[in-house]
Amino acid sequence: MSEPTASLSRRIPTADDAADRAALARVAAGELEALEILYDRYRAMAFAIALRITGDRTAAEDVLQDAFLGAWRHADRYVDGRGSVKTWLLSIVHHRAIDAVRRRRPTSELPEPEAPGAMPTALVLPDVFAEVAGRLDADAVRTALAALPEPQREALELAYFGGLSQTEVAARTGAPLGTVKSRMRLGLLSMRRLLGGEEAIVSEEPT
Amino acid sequence: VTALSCDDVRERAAAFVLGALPEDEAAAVRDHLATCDDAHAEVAELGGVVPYLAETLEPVEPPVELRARILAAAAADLETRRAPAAAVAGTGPAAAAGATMPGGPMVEIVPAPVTPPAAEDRTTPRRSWWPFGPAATVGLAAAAALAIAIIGSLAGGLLRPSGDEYSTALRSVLDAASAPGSQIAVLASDQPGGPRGLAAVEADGTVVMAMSGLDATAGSQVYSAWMIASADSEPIPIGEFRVGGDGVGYLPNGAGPASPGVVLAVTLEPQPAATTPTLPIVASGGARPAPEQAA
Repeated sequence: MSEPTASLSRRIPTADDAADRAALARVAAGELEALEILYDRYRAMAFAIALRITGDRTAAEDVLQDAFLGAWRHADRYVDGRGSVKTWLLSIVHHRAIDAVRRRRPTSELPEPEAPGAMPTALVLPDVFAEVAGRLDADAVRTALAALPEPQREALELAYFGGLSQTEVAARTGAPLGTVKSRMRLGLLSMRRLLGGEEAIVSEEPT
Repeated sequence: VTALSCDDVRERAAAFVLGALPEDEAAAVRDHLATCDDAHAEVAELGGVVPYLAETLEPVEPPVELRARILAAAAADLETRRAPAAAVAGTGPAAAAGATMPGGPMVEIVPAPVTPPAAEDRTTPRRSWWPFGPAATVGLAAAAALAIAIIGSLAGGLLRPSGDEYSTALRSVLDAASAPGSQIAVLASDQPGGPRGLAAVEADGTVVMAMSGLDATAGSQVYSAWMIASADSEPIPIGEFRVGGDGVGYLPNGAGPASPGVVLAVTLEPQPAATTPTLPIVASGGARPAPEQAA
């Protein structure tokens, strides 16, 4: 994958990022203490994501174990500059949680579960992109999400928190696939503008 | 899925970054991005928004025992990574057995070396008979941490259900460790892949010990467990057990003084009822308050 262009890597690394990267380097060297540091820093965020997606505490615990063990094994694969360590870790949690709910569904598009520990590379190494707007407090982000036009917000939430594929989002909402794709794209672009203090994109949708 | 064009990738960018593409399509997007001359800035532009979606959630504390479970799994993973080296360096059936069962019960692949540096340095002279001293102190602290991790892994069901004798013995140890006032000790040898185990010292001095990786006893041989209260006191015999071909030792009801911070050790004796230990020590470890008390 090509490197993000400079104009899009506006994220300014913070002191937290530096500490996280140092901890992750120690994790890559096999230091359990460093894993504890990262776990303690992000366990509540990670558990919130896993719980929201799976809706089940036991499943969420398994997701966290898989995710942190994946990070433990593949810490050397973190790419500096493509998102913070926090984003990387939480993306792994997100991928594992989505994987867990998709496996529960009969219409699974994923292969059969592999032996524990033999995680597919794509799930261990999620697609991570540098945050576009630096570190923002949760209230600002919630406000931005709430300010999206309802169909855009719904499409983002069904995909990100529901683990639905774009086809499944279309089926769930009764909207054509093309409309769903458009809502996802506009939702992300609107969110980006709102995070930067601009207004959402309210657009006529193609049908 | 056939190869995607740049337009195909642009059209799928939003779903891709949200994880809403079927896995084969997502893989096709990744393949394209990995080789395309176009930087596909739109993918980074949309993808950079996704991390914020997680920020909209209120943090939720996971159960406290999950921490120990994850650390135990990571510690075990570390051991399996190191196991091949130990199998080459180690000699004897214990080292070989350790290397051939990386998927075995958690505790079997979580040895806690009493003196980690010495264990890796094959030229280091054999350490003195009792494991006190600076190096041992570090090792014992690590052992206590691992004991906590092991407890967590069992509490979380990570130890796979198994009818084997070692697992059964370990459960007895953990039952004893969960009693109020109990201490727990991780026993290890200074040989990679060597004998290791877990023991609980209950408040009344009852000792329950489970060991694996031991050589089988023959003739009148017997393994003896010892307790010692401090560096300058004599070891006290607390119980004996024999070992068969599976290398598992189980002491269900040893008895000794229950002072805090005692050290437990195991030796192989030519005859039962030894009153002083025959060197070398097969495995040893310091007792620490069980996690329930420590937490």
